[in-house]
Amino acid sequence: MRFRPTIFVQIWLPFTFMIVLVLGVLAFYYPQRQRQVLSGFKKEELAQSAKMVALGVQLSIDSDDFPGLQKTMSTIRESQRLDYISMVVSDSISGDAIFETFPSDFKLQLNAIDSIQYLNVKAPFSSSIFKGYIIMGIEQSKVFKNIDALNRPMMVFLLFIAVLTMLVVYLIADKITSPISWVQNFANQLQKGDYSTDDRLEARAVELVSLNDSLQDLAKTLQQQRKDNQLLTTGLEEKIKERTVELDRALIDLNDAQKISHLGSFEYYMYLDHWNGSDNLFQILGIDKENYVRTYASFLSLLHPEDRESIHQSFEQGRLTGQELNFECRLTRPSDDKEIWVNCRAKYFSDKEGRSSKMSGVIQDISERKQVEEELNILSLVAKKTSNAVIITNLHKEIQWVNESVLEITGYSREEIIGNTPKMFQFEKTDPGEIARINNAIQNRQPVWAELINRSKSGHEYWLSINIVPLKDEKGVLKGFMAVETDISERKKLEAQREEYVKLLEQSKQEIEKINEELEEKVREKTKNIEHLALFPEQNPNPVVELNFDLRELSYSNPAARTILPQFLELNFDAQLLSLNVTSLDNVLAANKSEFIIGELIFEVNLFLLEDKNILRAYLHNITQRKQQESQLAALVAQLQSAETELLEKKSELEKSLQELTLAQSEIISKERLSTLGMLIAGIAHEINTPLGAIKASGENLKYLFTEGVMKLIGDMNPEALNLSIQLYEKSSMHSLSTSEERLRTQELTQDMEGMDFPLRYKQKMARMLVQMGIFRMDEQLKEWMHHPFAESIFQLGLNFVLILRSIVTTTASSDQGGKVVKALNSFAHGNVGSEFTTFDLKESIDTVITILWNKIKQGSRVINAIPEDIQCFALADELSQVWTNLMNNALQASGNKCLITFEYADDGVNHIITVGNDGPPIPSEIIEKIFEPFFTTKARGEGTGLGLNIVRKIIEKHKGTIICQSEDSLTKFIVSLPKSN
Amino acid sequence: MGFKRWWLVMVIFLGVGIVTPILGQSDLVFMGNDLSMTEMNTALMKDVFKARYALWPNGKSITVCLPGSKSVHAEKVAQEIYGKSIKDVQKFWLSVVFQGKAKSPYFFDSEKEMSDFIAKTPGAIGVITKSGGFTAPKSQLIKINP
Repeated sequence: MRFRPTIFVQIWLPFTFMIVLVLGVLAFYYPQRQRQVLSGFKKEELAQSAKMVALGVQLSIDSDDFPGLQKTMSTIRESQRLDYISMVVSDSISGDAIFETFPSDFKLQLNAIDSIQYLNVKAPFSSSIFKGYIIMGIEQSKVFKNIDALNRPMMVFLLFIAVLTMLVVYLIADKITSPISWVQNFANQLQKGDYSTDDRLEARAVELVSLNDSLQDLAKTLQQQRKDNQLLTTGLEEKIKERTVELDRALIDLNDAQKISHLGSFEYYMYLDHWNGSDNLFQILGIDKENYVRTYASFLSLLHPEDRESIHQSFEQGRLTGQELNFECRLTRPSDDKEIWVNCRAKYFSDKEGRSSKMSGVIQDISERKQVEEELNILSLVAKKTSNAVIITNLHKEIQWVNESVLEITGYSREEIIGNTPKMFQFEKTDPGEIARINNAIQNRQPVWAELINRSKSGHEYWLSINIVPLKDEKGVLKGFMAVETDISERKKLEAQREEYVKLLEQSKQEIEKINEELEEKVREKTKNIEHLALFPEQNPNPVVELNFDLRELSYSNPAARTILPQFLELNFDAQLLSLNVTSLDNVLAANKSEFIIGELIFEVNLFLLEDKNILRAYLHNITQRKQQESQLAALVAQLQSAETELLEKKSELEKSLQELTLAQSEIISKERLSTLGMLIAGIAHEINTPLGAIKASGENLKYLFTEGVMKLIGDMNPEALNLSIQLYEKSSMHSLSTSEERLRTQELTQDMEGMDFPLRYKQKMARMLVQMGIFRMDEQLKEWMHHPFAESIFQLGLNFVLILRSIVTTTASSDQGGKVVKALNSFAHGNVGSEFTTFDLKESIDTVITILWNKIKQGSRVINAIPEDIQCFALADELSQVWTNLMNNALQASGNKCLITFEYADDGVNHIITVGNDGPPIPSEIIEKIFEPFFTTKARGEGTGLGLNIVRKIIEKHKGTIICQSEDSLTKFIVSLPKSN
Repeated sequence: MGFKRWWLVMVIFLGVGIVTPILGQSDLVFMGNDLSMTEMNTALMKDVFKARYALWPNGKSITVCLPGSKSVHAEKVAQEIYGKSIKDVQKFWLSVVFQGKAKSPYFFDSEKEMSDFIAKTPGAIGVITKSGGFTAPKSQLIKINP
């Protein structure tokens, strides 16, 4: 017999189940019915017995026939297997009374006789004296004990029938379904392409034989179609080959394109954890296609460690959401350990169940682009951050981009500059010749360098060294011009000074040259005379002497020599030669033009050897005056050089002094803040001490309540009382009352307890505890708890719980208050020299200052901070805090800490306008002009430094803002304007 | 007269004064048959009538006989022996018989019928009143606290 799962499941199994189900229902229903019948019969029997007993009771009372009742009871007990029998008698006086019979320990509950376990009957009786009823019962299990045994043969019979039915049904199903299965198999063969015919089907059913014939015909038709298809397929295959060749060509082109664009494609199969890619991809990644294990983990390992986590998260997110991936990351190529940048774009594909199963995408090597970007970033950073001004214009000279330095130097905003031409910075002093030269160079697309004087928005004049270069793209097409400008105002200033000195020097030189020329002229005239006089030494006004080498003696001296040089004439020959700087005949010419000094006179020596060369004639020309003038000139030059050196040193000193001055100014601001803080510190200490005191008191209170008020009470109480204390605590509230209110509430609550049997003092005590717990109404539960033996302890423990909670709340609130003051103090005192511009919340900043000054404010002043929420200010936060502090402190001091201070805000589009007003004493009009001056104060000695408002103005000016003061009647306003832009 | 003697005289006097009216005024007459005793005290008598004993010393089963509930003497008997109303006495016996704790009592509408029943039933004990007019046979009389 063949096993056919389909038939088994569809026909035989359900049918068999149905039969077994029917038999099962019968098997259940039949015994149940038997039980019902037996139960009815037994109940009837019991009812008869109960009636008999009831009758016996009735007779025994009405007719005094107790022996009859005794007989009846004996009969009942002997004949019935009762589990219990009871008599219930009722009269108007005693109500129901139960007389038990047996078993003696059977406790009959009139209202809950168990009708499931017992079969119960009830029979009433009514005598002239009593009424009542008899109730008796027997256990159902005893009654039905034999039913199961009786039904066992029936169950075996039913089981036999079930098995028999299953077999019969199976045989019939098999007989019917065998040919159907054969036809089904034949159809399956056809479906699989096996068109061989088969005539094995027996003629069991006409319809099936007919169906078989149809299938045979179908097989033949399909065989014919297969032949036709083969013919078609041959043609298609050729076409496919052609297309394949085209595709291969396209693939090669694609690979080439990928190589050119440094691109590689990939596919990742998630279920397999395997990825595949184009050849170019492996080249980009620098891995061996054949030997590399291509998993997700191996790909991640290629990534730069810093990028790995973020890329993994992107993959995960994409996998879950199906979102397209597009990211850039670094990876290290295993082939050459080179780090490259890649751009990855990928898309997820889902399976039928909607889960991401595959990912396809491309990876492009963007290292070159990244390098260029980095270079551009660096260049951009250089252009932005350089102290030189950088301006980029288009071909029409319209400014396209400027860096921060341009804004600083010119004072214009970026919006004002962009789109304008550099002409906006020029004015009448700007050299038109230089401008023309620059324009000419620009027209010729040539770089140009120039120095120009320009004017800023505020009218300040400044010198610039401008270097203009044409900007060309990679193809060499001109895109615009870039001007790099350096502020050379200082250098120009120095140059001007130096020119002035040079001019002076030149003048001095000219004067000297003039003197020289005059002297030369004189010398020339004198020389002429000398030449003339040389022939006539006797008439020469200058000394002339002749020394004879043969005789080794002074052979001649003219009258001037004799007059001027008597000491020389008295010398011997060698000494005279030495005086004339002549050591031998050979060095006569070398000694020529040397100087001859005698006394205070200086002579220039002119030596000549006469005819036979044995006589040396010396003409001595007095140059004492010329020497003196030359000495004076040298001293003047040295003086000028010294002056220039001194000038440079002074410039350096001045720059240093300027830096020190800036630092000193910041320190003064900082010191002023600390000075203000010093004056406020006592008040702040009080503000901190108050919460500290509260915390300490709460702590001590908590310690006492915990040890004395909770632990001791808990030790004396049972768990139930403890539970009631907790329930009482849960009823409590955190109302805090004044003493008079507490007294009043206690009286009301005591009145609520009226009618309760307690002494008045006890009630008052309990009421006070309840009021302290924040419970102001008596409810039924509270009244019930007051009768508890531990009532007083319960209430006291509940109160102690409430007091502990209040102490904790007080501690927390005090900590918050203290923390707020310390935070404000820290924020205020933190400011130091060299702080930076930051963006901060204006309202919050003013609130901090209010906290610092709170000790003074609370003495009778009021502060309204009407600054809107979320006003962000870009400024020196700490220094602005000092502004608000000084303004508020001044108002408080002037009004004796009794005034109304207001902070209001307006926005004119460009500036934050903050108005700090107070209704203290007005500032007299005669001093209002002086209040911002340094060391001006109206306060008593020691109360103020006189620097407060001066520092306020300096801080505001540091922010390029303004501050003005208006004081009329009883309203004084300080209007602070701060630029909004960075 | 010493104090002790005077005290003793007073106790005897008072005892006699209290007991005499109770016994002297009792209208009940007790009858019995083959009880193995002809006299008994009040406590024993009451215990017997309250079904606290089942057998006499001679082994005979105790059978209690009482005046019927509709009898004019029934209330008197109930009060003197049981200290209850006749209704409560019936309730008492109903409970006893229903629970099978003792043999059921017999109630008689006439004292003569009771006497005859006692005569025929060994172990039976009954009670009648003197004022009922019936004189019990001497052989059946049971003395209480003689």
